[in-house]
Amino acid sequence: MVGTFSVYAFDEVWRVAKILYYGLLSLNHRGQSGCGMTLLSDTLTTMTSPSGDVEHAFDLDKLVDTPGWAGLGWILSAGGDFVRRLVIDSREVYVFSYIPITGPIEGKLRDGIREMLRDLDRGVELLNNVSRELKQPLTFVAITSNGEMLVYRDPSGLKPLHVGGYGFDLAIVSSESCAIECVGGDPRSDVPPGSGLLIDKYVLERSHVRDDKNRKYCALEYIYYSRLDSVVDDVPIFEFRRELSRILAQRVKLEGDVVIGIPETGIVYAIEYAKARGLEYCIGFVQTGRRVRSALVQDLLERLIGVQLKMSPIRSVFKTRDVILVDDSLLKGITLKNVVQYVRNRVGARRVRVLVAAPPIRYECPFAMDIPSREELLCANVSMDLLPKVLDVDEVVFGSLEDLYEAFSRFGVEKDKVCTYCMTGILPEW
Amino acid sequence: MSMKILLLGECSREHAIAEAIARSTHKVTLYALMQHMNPGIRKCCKDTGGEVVLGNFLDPEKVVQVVKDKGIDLVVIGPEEPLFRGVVDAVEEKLGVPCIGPRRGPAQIEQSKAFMRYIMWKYKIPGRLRFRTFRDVAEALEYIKETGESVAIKPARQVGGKGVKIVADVQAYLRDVRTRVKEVHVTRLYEEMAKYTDIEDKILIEEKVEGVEYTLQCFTDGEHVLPLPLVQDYKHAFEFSIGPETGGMGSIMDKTYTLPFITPEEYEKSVEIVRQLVHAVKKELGIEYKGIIAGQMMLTTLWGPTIIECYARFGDPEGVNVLSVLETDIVDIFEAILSKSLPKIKLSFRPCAVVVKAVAPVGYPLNKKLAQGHVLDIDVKKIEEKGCRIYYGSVHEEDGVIRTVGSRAVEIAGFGDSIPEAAEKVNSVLRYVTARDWRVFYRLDIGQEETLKKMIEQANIIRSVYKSRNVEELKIYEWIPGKGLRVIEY
Repeated sequence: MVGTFSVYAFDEVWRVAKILYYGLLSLNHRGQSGCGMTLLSDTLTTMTSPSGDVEHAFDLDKLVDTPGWAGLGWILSAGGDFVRRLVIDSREVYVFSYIPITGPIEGKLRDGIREMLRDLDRGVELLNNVSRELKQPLTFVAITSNGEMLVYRDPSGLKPLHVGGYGFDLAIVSSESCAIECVGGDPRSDVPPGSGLLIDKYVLERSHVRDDKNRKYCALEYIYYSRLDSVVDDVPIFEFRRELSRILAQRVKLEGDVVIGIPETGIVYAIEYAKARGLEYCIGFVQTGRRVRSALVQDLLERLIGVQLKMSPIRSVFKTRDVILVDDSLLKGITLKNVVQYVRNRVGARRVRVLVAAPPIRYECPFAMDIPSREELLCANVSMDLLPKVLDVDEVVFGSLEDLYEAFSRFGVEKDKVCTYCMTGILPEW
Repeated sequence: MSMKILLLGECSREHAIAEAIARSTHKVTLYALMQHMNPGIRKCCKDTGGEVVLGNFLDPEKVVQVVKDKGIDLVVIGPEEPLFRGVVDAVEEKLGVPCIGPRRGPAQIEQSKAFMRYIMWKYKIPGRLRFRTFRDVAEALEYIKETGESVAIKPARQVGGKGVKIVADVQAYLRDVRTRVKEVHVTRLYEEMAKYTDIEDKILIEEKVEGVEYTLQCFTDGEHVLPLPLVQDYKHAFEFSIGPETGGMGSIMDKTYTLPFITPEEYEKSVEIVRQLVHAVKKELGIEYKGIIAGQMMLTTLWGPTIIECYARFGDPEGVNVLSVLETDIVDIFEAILSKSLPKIKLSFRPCAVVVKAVAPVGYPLNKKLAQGHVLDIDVKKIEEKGCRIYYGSVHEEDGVIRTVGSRAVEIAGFGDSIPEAAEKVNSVLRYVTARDWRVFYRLDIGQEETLKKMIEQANIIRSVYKSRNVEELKIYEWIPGKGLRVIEY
């Protein structure tokens, strides 16, 4: 998964590098395998880092004096070329895309950007057609050496993109609203699917074209990826997860003395599930060191280190009790298995039951969402009967698709608008 | 005998005033003094048998001369700048011809933001904000460095609605980035203000408040205040309320006196603030304020209705909202202002919501040179077919060709049963204003359902906070560890 945070100052007195830094920092949950920014002053200057840890990728002390009144920032996770330098109509263009910019996509992207610069509506129309043709969410943000910023969101709306402002000075484009708030700005609106924006020194033009036929909501974005303080396409992430927990509590009646969330994303589900069931909720783990989103770490050893540091169990919570562990989703199962072994064998939990909010995930995402390959996905390779044994737990229950659709419907999103490919293997219509 | 009225000004607001005067049932001949030929105002003059005089309406001598030459009985001042230059004083004192518009002293309420804030504190008018004025650049810079808080940095004198910089500075981790911007802006403002010698304070730094803004325009005879329906204008240049500050890219007004996000109680409080201001001006200066006064209000978490700025004239575009549907004879209102009998006026409006949107040439507001001199093509017939009305703004007509002057070129008013309905009507005709070999821009979002919904939500949040405070004894406690407690009394 990847993310962008970009800023355009209408008053060139601004130096935006440090603002980009904090924006990217608040999107760090979206990727941890590299980040960078391209700043515009007289020319474009690019700083990239293979470190996915924004705090260590840039020299913060220098950023305040780094020139640049506009900038494109990005944060990357899995490999793939999400950022590309292009030359279009004698301008230098840096573009960040939510999907890897492979050979054929690069050509289409170049054509689309060229057209947007000449005629915004025609460019957006062209890109809408390309997205449909490729069946890919070609959502992107680009900055040019001529002082233009281009924003395009594909008709599916699978990838989040929000615009905001700061006073009379800055336009901000961000994957999530939380980053706009982090820099003191005001989130204003999601970029409507199938539309685009062109920002330059004197105008912010919004395409009249807007095409959201077959608009989709990525289920995992709501269940897991986005930050709790973000609102994505008018659905507040925190409220969505609470709602889903309540729905689960009505259907899934697991027994146990205490409900414990797997940090960090599992915690909200655990609290709400416990509350709705009238069970005790307890903090079960303490984190050592800085926060790592373990699911996004590729290397197995690195990942184990991440998991273990993140989860030092509080003994008294588990000792000789029946516990219900709650997590948002189950991918490779490494985190869960590790935690279970710990709380069972070392800390002495009596029975361990597991609730996973998301339905079983069995398919790799065709839209560049970070999901491990099919061979690595636990639920794709192990039957539901065998699963408790593999995980060494007494019971595992997943949220159902119906639960998920019900949660979406409570926010006005109809069932057929939810993309659940990773769970069902059914491709959304373009 | 026909009454001869002279109107000063040349933009959309003045076009709307001219239209209201031309509608009067009194026998009126309308003259207008302006620098650029506004085709809309010219038509209104012609329809009443009057004419346009091209000339500098900011120059009191010039105005006096036109009043004498044409035998004018009443002068109506559209924009603020002639008020600051003492046009009303000159016309009334030298010729005894009455004016609709305050004299230079009372007009300070707009001209000097410091004066407005000062009398609010002196007379304990609700909606006060903490502020400091600076005459010296070094002192202002030091203050900025020391405090590091969210501020609105404003030129102490009105400079055409420009120069305000709002810097939210809550995040300590971004303080250095913002301090730099504040410093550069203060320095720039000093340079700008050096042009004006009519005021001592150069810069005003005010606590930044957040909330929902709206405008309350009123007629006043110095004693009585006759409030008009609320209007909300949108200052940001671009869609989503992003981008530089403009004079206003559009404004909305409902069928009722309030707006969907302002309660009748808040409306009354706002009127009370303006009323107290009018009375305070008289107490302070010994001169009555007469004409039009408008409060640029904000619903804040501190006070509820709070005054951010004060206008000594109709807002532009807000004036167009009210005047385009005003059914009461405006000449009757003018006469009531002059005879101090405003309470006898019963205001009536065409019962509909009004949305006004400006069309501006690209370049406005940051580079007006770039924005000027472009030929406009306007399909008035298509616009009027949808029941919309066009009000010409910053344009100049010569030999049937209309060119941009650099600011908002035209404003279009649409009418409907609800604000979104009126907005859609305007949106459907905005494309009939185009520039040859150039681009124009406008905002589609103003008045749309989505935008309104967000305003209502925001207002509800603010309301729940300010209602929990006791504004009678408004105090803010600041605790600085090691330095002790500071109590800020409002």
